[in-house]
Order: sequence, then structure tokens, then C-alpha cells
Amino acid sequence: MSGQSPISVQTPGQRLLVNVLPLFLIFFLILTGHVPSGFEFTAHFDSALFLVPVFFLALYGQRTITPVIIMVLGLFKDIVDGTPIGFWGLLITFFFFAAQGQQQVLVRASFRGRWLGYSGICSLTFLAGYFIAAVRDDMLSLFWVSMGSAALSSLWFLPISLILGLLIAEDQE
Amino acid sequence: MVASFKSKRSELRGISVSGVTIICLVFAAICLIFVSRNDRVIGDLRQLMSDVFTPTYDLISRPGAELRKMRNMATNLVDLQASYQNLEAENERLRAQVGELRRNRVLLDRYRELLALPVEPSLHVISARVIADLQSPFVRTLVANTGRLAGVKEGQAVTGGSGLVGRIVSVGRVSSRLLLLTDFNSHVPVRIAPNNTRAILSGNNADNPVLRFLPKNTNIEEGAEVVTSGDGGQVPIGIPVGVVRVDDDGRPFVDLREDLHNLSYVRIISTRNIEQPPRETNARTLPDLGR
Repeated sequence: MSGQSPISVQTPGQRLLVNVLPLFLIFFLILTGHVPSGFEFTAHFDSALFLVPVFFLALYGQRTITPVIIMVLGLFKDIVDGTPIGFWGLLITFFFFAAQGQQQVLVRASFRGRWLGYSGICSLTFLAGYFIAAVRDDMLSLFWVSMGSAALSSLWFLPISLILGLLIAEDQE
Repeated sequence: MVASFKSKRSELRGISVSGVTIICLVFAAICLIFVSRNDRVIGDLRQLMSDVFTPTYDLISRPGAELRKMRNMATNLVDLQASYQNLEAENERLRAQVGELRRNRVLLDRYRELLALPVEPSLHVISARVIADLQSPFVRTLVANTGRLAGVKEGQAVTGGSGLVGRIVSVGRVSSRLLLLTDFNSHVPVRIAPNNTRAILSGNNADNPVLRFLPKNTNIEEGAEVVTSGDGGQVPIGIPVGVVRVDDDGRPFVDLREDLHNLSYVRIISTRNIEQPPRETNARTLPDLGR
């Protein structure tokens, strides 16, 4: 893959919106993901909201440096979360890689198709996390909790993609 | 130099995004394999990050905390009559127990005197607010807004309103990280009433930690009270933890007293430092000195 987005970005302002704003959103969502919700149901899961802007960057991001920044943000999540260094770094880069591999299909897909694609890749990512936790002696994860987290993340796709969808729509004008 | 930089930049452009992603994947995998989770430098970095982001966590957790307070207030208003009656009944029960407790206290002091037992270290409680909830399918930790400045130290026990919730694993200047009892890496020595059976309470990343290293042929009753044993000297003796339950396969687990998903404030229990026993080498030299 060449790394060129199927969407042509014309002005530097638009380029900044497509490439930089999702990165800030990832950082912000990593931090806000730690706010105590007080709801017992959601407390079991990690909604991993930051995966939505990663998905959009994989589809519309233009720069070669983007995967490096994404991996660094994953390492940052490892540091603040207390997970082994490289755990989220690997998972988030894997997610980006998987989404970018389907870029041509997903960009042309309808919103529902994109949502389905996101849910599939998100489930794969959490499954990978489950397997990594299973082989490490300092980690443990329950299968249904991991899959529940992927499902919860998929539910959050709609509201977050609304913000990013507006951004892409503006870009296409 | 400018020309060299430009040529390097064009070389970088030659690498596809997929190529860079694969390099990043390999780098992250190497980190995951070779960097230990308990690495001291990483631990310090983690705590530094917690300190740096404490004001941010504090700020973004406030609306949620206020909403929870309002929700609790609304629930309390609805159940006001029932709550009042429950409190009245509890107050009666507690009043009846006060006299008995006073008598027991006197007896305990007398027994201690007779047996020349050392007095248990006095407990000092530090209150803290939970500002970040790091619970996920992979880890179960919280961040509290109190640190070294308030006297918090690694290993100290943390309780909620009704029982033990975990212990401190790292301390920063103004924040500290606490490992919940449900985390896979949490192991706390406990005693099970009424026979004072010793066991280790181990987290399993689920809601109910399990009891391990129970003596063979031990009969544990369902509903038996579990308290901390104080072994190891870090967690004080006698802090209530929960009650024993048995799953369908007959394995005992503990139903915790504290709801770990709804913690707003916690109490960090600080004990006086317990003196280390003399080293083996010193003990060996004592008879020699006597000769």
C-alpha cells in the first residue's frame, strides 16, 4: 500500500484536521477512559474509545509517521494503565495495520459496512489481547470480558464517528 | 547537510505506511517480550505520569463524581423512610454492642498484660479520593489523589467504607496507585473464621477473588468471615475482607464486602514500621560471644 489516502486533502488546514485532530482525540480518549463511571456493568469492560480515531486515521491518514505516533500513544497507554510495556503499543498498532489493510474496501463502504469492519477488527484486537494475556504469567483476562469490551467499543463507534464523520465530510467538500 | 536531510526524507517517503507499521509492530513486540512489568524505571515513569496527570484526572473525574453524588442523593430520598428505620435498628444494635465491646477491651488488655504480648501498632488513616479507575479486562488498579507528601507508602492497606479493597503498589508525590484485590497480581494473607484457617486471597481479574494454599482436608463453611491475617506485617491484622462462598465445582471464593466498582473515597491504613528480626549471621555469633 502506498499510504496515499483515497480522499484528496486540499488545504493545509484540512490536512491538519484529518491528520492531527484524531491524534489529539486518541490522547484525550486514553485519559478520559480512566474516569470512574460508577456503573458496575461498564466497570468490567474497557470501552477502548480511542480505537475509533485510530480507525479513521488508518482509513484517511496520509503520513508515514502516523503508525509511529500511534504506537507511541499505545506505549503511553501502557504507562498510564499499568499494563506491560508494549501490550497496548502492539495491540493499537495491530489494529491500525488491520484497518489499513482493508482501507480500499472500508473507505468505499457504507457507514454500516464501516461499522461492521470496525467491530470485526476491534474484536480481533481484543482477541489478540486475550491471547497475549493468556501466555503471560503476570496477566490474566477472561474471554467474555475481552469480547464484551470489543462489543462496548463498537457501540461507541457511532457517537465518536459523528465527530470524525463531520471532519471527513468537510474534507470531501 | 540539508541535502542529506532531504535525501533521507525522500527515502522515508519511499517506505510505505504498511512498512512503517510492521516496524512499529516488531518494536512493540520486542518491548512486550523484553521489558519487565515490574521494571523500576518503568514504575517510576508510571508514577511520574500519575503525578503529572493528577490535576487532569481530578478535573475530568469531578463531573462524574458529582453525578454519582446526585444519583445517590436521589436514591436516598426515595428510600428515606426505609433508610431511617434501618438506621434506627442498626443504632439500637450498636448501642447494645458498645457495653460488650468495653468489657472485651478491658479483658483483652488484661490478657495482654498477663501474657506479656506486644501492643499492636496503632493505625493511622489517610483519606483519599479515587481520581482514575484503570480497571479493564487486563488490569485492576485505581489512582488516588494522595501520595508521599501525605505519608503514603508502598504496601499499605487500602479500605473502603466496609472492608479491604487492596494495597498501595506505587507512590508518587501527590498520587498513588492501588492494586485491587481482584487483580491477578494481588495476593493477600487472610484468616477464615471460626477456626482461624490461614489462606492466601488471590485475584483472578474477575469480581470474586479465590482462596489458595488452604491446608489439606480443611472444611470451610459457606458464609464464614474472612479477615486479614497480618502475616508479612504490611497489612494490619483483622481488617474485614468478605465472606466465603463456594462455586458449583466446590472451589471457595470470597464475596467482598466492598463494591470495587463504586469507590469514590478510600482510606489508606498506615501502620508503625515493624522492626526487622535480627539477621541469621548475628544470631549465630551470640553463643560465641557467650563463650
